[in-house]
Amino acid sequence: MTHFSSLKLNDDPGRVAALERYDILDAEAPAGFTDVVTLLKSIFDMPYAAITVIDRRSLRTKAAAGMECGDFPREDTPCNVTIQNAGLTVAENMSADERFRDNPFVTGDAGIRSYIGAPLTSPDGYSIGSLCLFGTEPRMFTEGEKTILQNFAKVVVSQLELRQAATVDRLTGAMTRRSFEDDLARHVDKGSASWLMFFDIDRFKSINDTFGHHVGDKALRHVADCIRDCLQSEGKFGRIGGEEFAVHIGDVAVEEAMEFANKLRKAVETSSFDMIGDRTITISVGAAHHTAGDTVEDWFQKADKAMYQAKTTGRNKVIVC
Amino acid sequence: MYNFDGDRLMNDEARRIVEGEVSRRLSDFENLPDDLRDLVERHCSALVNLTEAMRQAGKDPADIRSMVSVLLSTYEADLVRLMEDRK
Repeated sequence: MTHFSSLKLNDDPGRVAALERYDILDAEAPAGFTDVVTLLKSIFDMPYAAITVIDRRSLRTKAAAGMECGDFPREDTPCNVTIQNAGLTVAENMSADERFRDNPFVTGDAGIRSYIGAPLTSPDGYSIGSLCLFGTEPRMFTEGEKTILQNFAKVVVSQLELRQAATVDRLTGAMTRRSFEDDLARHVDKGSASWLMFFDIDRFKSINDTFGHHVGDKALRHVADCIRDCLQSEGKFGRIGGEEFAVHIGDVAVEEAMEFANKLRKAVETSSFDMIGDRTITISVGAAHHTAGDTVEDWFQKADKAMYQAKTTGRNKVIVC
Repeated sequence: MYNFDGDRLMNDEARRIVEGEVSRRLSDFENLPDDLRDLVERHCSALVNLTEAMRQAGKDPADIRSMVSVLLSTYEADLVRLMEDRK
């Protein structure tokens, strides 16, 4: 359960990072979201119900009943007020409510007059969006309805938690292969350029064979931690196979990509992992730039080929193609 | 067997409704890996609290049962997909 004392209402960068961890912004919402808004619209007998998420600048509707999903400037939306409050935001007559009477959803064509919203609060205390209902007539909300909405919001967060479990590799905390591929596919669909870096742990089989699989697992976690520390918020990081990982970063010049890949390689090489005696963990990295027309599969193959070249020409190195 | 206590005192009826639907839909619940079992238990606790809130608000018991069934149905679908991904 999330307690109010653990809420982080004044840390918007942390809130946005929490939203990004759910990887919900551009992705398809859990199927249960539609059920929630449909049920709520019926229970409250109101024209509109929605589940929204809010990033730095905009609100995105992830499920809606009575209207189409859409994107809106964050500052214009009542839900932006909701995510800044610990509890419910209730407006029974918005035109007489100083928080909302000048809001474009109230003064404009939408003509919204009543609103109730519950923040969607992550277990670590960040409100990433809202579950809300609104209508074109003023309306009272009973205590029972308020409690129902708050409990529905917890169900929505619980659905998100399950979805997140599907996107995170249990051993390393990196994205799962499917989640990473889905993310790349969305990027390819947008047509923007970027870099994909494949790497695997050199002589990993020998670590498993010599020290046992429990040490191998710890080595995988250790490498994942090194990469995460190195990346911070610069890119996406997934586990592609046994000891294979991938990093996806934005578009930079080839020299910068090379430098970045070497930064990852050196971070692993210089890290301390004392479970394998005097041996050092190293990685071989293959980096590939996305070329217009490349499918995700093509891109994977290019990065994989570069990584293979790094392996066969000495290991603990970076090859860019 | 189940631990869907929710986060406050609740009516036994709310728990019975959710447990009944869980038994029907998530028959393999006991065999879930620990991390998923924890998630399912938390989800069911949230459903118990929601069920109780609906009961307190005087909603029709048949509607409440139907709501729990719908919400568990899509959750089950997501859970099955996740399990398949992990194979």
